[in-house]
Amino acid sequence: MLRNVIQLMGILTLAFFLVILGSVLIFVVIVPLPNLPGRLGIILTGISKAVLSTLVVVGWVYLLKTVTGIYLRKKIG
Amino acid sequence: MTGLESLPFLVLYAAVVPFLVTYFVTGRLIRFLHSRKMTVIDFHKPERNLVPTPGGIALIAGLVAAESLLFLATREIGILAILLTTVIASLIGLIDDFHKLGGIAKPVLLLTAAIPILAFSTYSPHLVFPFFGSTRLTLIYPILVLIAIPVTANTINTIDVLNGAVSGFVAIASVPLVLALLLSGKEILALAAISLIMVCVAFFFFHRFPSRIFPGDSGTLGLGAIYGAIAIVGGVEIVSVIAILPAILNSFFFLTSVKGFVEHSKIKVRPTIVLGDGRLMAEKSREAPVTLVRLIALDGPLGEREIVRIIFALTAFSAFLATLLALLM
Repeated sequence: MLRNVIQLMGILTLAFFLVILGSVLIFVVIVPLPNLPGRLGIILTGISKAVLSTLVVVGWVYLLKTVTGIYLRKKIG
Repeated sequence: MTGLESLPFLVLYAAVVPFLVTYFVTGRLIRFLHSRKMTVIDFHKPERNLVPTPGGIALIAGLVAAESLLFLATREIGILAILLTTVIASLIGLIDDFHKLGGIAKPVLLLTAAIPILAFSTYSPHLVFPFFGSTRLTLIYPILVLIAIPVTANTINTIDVLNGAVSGFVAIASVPLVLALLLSGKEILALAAISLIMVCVAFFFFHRFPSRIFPGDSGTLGLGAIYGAIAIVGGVEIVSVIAILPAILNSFFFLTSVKGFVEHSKIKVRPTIVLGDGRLMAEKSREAPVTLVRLIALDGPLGEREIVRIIFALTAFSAFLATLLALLM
């Protein structure tokens, strides 16, 4: 039982680092990116920011889902 | 100056009043709900006993009493926003307790609970990160506020799985919130978070194994909404997210395995099976949704109390990570 709890704490620690890393990537790197000049530039920058942020979230979900999937398969067999 | 805003009075409003109100209202509510036959089956007990619900009324009473007194004593507009957000979310939960709302209707209705925070502008459009400092999100932040309240309310709602789990979980997860608010010099909001802890502790005496009352959605949505509101108004969003990671992962596992917002009652294969002796065994079927309880019970059947203790241990670990983060900021 203790081993299971430690493994779950490992998943929590991974999620902790992913939350920090994902938030920093989105809110510190992607969102403050300067707009390209012109009206079209603003639209393109907005779309690029949305796509990049979505990619970060998708990567976050994929990584955590994969780790949980491996954990489940190992336990269930 | 009336003296009612002095420290001993503030501590009374934040700690003693919510504890006593919740404790006494819960005791009376149990008798009232039993007399009106407002009970539900406790599915995790082999004898399938009936438990009164919704106990959320007692939680709301304690929170409203504490936050109202805090607001009257300090005139802090942030406390009023927190109070209104809690009341709106709890009322939506109360509607759900008596007239089941759909899987998508609940989060949509909960968007309205964020309105007081936006209307009173009791937020700062900055997110603070360790090592990276603060980032300004003038346009995006109000949208995040609108989404954050339904997300926290539903996230806390999903951890209401076993006897005592949600009340104990919120009490533990609120500790780093208090510390982060004190470290950032927001003592009044720290008192609001202390009142949340006290309400949960008082309710836990009745909610712990074997439960004598269930909080219902009025209780869980109210607790989640106040938790989110304190985090936003206090500007300790990242710390609060880390503190409730077990609940966030529980929601994440569930949503990714059932692929969308589905009411728990609509799930065909349950994540756990109740054995004859009351222990819970993880469902081995691939069709069963992935939940935190299922992951905890994967090594073999466990008693309800043991599983709740593990949930608390995981929450304490997250609270520790959140505290580390608060100290690094």
